[in-house]
Amino acid sequence: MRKVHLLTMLVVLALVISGASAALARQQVTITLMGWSSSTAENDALMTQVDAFMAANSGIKVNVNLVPEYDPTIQAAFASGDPPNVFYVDSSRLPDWAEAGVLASGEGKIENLDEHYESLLEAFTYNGTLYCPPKDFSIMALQYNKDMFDAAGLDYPTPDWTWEDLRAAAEALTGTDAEGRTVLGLVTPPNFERWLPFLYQAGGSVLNEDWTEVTLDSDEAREALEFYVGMARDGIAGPPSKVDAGWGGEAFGQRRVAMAMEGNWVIKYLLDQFPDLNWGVTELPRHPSGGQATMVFTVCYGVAADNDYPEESWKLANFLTGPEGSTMVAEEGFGVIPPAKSAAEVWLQAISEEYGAGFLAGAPYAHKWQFPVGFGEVFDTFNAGLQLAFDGQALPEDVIVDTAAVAEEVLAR
Amino acid sequence: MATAQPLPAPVDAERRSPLAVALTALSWTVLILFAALEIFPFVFTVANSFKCLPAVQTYPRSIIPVPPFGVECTYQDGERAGASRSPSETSGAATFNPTLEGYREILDANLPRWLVNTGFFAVAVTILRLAFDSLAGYALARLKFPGNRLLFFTILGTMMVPPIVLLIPRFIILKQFSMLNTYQGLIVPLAVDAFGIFLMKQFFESIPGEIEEAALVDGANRFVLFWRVVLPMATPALTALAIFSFQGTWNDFLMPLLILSGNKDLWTLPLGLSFLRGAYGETLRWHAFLAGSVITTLPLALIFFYFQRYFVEGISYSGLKG
Repeated sequence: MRKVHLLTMLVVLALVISGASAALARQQVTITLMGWSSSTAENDALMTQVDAFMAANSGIKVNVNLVPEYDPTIQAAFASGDPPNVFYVDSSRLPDWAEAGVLASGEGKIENLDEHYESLLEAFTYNGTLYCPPKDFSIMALQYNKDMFDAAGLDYPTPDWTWEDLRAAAEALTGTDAEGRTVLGLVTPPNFERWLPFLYQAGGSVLNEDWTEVTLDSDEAREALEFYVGMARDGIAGPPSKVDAGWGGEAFGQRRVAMAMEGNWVIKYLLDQFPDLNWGVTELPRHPSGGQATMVFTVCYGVAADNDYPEESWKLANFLTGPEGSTMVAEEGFGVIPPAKSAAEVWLQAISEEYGAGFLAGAPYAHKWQFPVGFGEVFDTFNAGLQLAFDGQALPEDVIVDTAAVAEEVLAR
Repeated sequence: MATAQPLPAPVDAERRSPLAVALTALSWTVLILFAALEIFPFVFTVANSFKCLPAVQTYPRSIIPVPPFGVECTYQDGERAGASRSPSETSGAATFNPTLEGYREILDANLPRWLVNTGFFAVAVTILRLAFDSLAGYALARLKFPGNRLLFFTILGTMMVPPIVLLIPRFIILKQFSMLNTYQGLIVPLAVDAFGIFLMKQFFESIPGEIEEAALVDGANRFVLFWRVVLPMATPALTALAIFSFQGTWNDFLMPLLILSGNKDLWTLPLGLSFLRGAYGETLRWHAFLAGSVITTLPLALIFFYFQRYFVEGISYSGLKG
């Protein structure tokens, strides 16, 4: 009898131990977060966020893996069938990855929906499915060199500026500097996405709502491109290469242009590399009819479809993008704007109203940077045509027609 | 007392035609021009690595440092946190006040570790390649066995496959062997290469067989023959191979990127530098980045100059003596 009793106790003990160890094993979950590197300070801030998450969720260990050259690295990870649990997704890559089935659907998983800007959630919705919560965003706005405006006796740009005001100012600000170098009124990069705000302001569009039809070939598009190219043809604007710069921000910092239309990534760049520059920022000008538009470039935390720990992954994504998590980044005042609306306000204070307000103001009416799979060809056609148009070797109208034709072709595939 | 020998009278240079002089002058001019073109980016890199961040962006670009060396880029407290002193204070038209800030920043960013990793990786791959490529090359050049030629052409054939095609399969194989994010995962796939085998085989074939026969007569076995006789004669080919593989692995980016990206402690210099550049480059801190470039380039340049001596020496060796 006693013996049996002892045996039972041993069995029970063994069960308890194995159960406990199983529970322990379940607690030791490690998930991987993959992204690309930003500035050292931003990378450190992400680590702080992740540490806070791990402190609040003792069972989850997060392995942060920031890599140079993100695209080939993550493609290899997808191909090997062992993708990271959570990873950065640029809004322009969302259609590709959603089509490839590597992204888990975020429907019913994403929290704090009302904390996010509509335009951002829309950027991560593909075919009616919301995939991932926004990580941060950047918005295009108009930067202007205050010293140049003062010297020309012009008033600083305001949000109610129209295309005509922009053109008149660019004309007045074009000239040469003390070293005899050309100074342009405005830098107009030869890229589709830089021209798109003008198209949207004029009331045009590239595709219809559900991406079934190409609507680019329109009077609005012609008007917008003629305006964009016209300034360059008249010598009051031009691509960065015209003023020996690699991109708009550099041209602006070097004082070779009086105005630029960059996103908020330019703030830190200008403050760090051109501390002497006296500049301000406001919203992009409007179409004379009042049409207002800008572009938003945004990134989200995608969760892998092929995932051993979906619950934990969503927990992490929600924490990083929620009010608490994103406020931790907002306080640092980096170049990119944190996703939650409350955090965006904190960001504005951290980076100063002076530099941040003009960018943030565009959030409610910004258009997403996202097109169907395979649209790279369309951008290439447009960009090559735009470069020719700047040099007077192509007519804006032809660029529109050619680009629309390529878009039709891509869409028909 | 030895009488001072009169120095031989300088041989009057044969009268050179004006055309020859002009040609010499022209060739020197062209050579100097191209040398300057080649060296300028390097000078520019070195000069800018000793500047403050805003000074890098100042026009006109200056390349002459003025003492005192090690001037601090003082950070003004106040409205613009992180702003360095103004460019006008740190640089003139042609000169600038040098600073070590870029080097300090890059050293803080784990550069010493990357340097050690890169050195270990490059040395390991180079040694393994010298060993395996020369063994394989010798076997293909001298040993008669069935399928010798077929094997050689198969190896040669792998050179026709663009390396980029092999990336993903290689990644998957390494993953199956659990060798991702390890040193061996980076080193083993590169330990032998087709080009090296080809190079060594061609060189061994150019060595006269009589030398080996003489050694065989003296009682040497195949390995002793290879080790004591053939290999020392192959110095030029070995040096060339060493330089190629060391340089190639030192600068390699794609392989380390795919294989090591998960473990930051194993990163090599090109990976680390690219990481500092950021995703879009607008966060690029030029002075630190260029300081890192100088540190990346310097060991390679020194090794090249050192080996170049042997390289030239080796070529003169290869002529058979008496």
